Amino acid sequence: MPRSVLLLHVLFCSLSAAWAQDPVKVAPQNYKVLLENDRVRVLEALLKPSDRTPQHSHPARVVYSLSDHSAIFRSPEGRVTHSVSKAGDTVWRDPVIHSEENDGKADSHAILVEFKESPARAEALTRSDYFVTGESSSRLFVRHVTFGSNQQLPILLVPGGSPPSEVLFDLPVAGYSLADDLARMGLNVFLMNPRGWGKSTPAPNSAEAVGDFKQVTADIGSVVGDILRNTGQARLVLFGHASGGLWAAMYATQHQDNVAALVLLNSMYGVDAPWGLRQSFEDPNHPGTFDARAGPYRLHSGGIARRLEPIDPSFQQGRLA
Amino acid sequence: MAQAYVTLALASDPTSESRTPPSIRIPGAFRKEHYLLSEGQKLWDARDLKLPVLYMRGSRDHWSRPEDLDAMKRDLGATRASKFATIPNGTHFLDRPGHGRDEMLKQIQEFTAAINKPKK
Repeated sequence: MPRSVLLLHVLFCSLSAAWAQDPVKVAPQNYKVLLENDRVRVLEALLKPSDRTPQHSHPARVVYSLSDHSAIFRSPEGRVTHSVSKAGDTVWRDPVIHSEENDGKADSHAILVEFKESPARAEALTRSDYFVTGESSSRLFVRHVTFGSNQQLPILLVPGGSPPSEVLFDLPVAGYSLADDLARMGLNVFLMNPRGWGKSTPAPNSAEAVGDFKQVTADIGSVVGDILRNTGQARLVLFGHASGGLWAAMYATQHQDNVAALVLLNSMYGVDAPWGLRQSFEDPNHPGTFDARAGPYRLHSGGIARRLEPIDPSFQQGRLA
Repeated sequence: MAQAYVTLALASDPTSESRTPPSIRIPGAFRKEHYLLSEGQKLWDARDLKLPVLYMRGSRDHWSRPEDLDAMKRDLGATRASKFATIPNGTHFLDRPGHGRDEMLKQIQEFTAAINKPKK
């Protein structure tokens, strides 16, 4: 059948996009599934004048317009595109994340044939970076890492008092990316930076330490909410490394409905026991008290290459200057 | 691998080149929070959790303490599908092949597979 030959051809040429934000889930009033199998999903899109969808993603697709219409598309980075279509227009579209607004006077009506990942492509690891809006209009960096197409359980990785999550969890060196390994296990992997880490909005200026548990757990909450909305899942797994485990656990105790399970790695817990680093953090003039002169930030410098050492020397240097 | 780490780490902070030597700024409140934890202040209580926990620490980690694992195990009890593992030879980042990385991944795989199973 020529049509299926065409479809197959297009399928193998198609790029894939993570099905991060499914239009059917975020805008069910505008998108209806007409047909779905393991190769394609056919959607009917209907936007009434001034309808505006939330941000959503499409994989590579063919769009067939059923009406003359006009639309404004906005990308997550704020890029705005205006497009005018006539009934019968048939166009190929590459994978995209956008929102759509019908800025015309007539219904915008179209059929979308979305192509699922080709078998070759399904073996590939995909990464996509985006920002989630958090408290006080902050922008929180999130990376989504997937492998293949059957991920269900989302897992969110939270860094500690360490370099940002894309450095800690997703080093682009074979065998060193935890995100890569977890995605290959079939998990739907997300990593985030709270305010003050990496490309997220800086923590508010202060002479005192920034990035406390109140702020970080609020940021975790913003990202968890976004992931659950986008994936349609009720719960996710929270993973925290060291201090990230403290914050993940604090969030989990307050929001147990959102968390399926907690994974903690090298995290401390509240128990009075010897701690090799206590002296480094103590006020030398007031033993038994934290040294409040530590400053708002930990500066992590030359020693970072020495991360391979059994003990991170920047911790041994005491004040973490 | 070390070079990739340094390059990426420094690139992650736009202010890194404004200091000598270049460094990245990491919010510092975690230091006081952990000072308090080390003295026994419970900033959170594992007894409040109804969900399963996988707690892992490297036997050579310089940050967490064996007592952290023991205390959490006590508080969570044995009845909640939680798991506790000390990773032999594991250090703080557990990222080196041959230094506990495979064992850590195996623990996560088994734990998440049990979570992922649809409840009947």
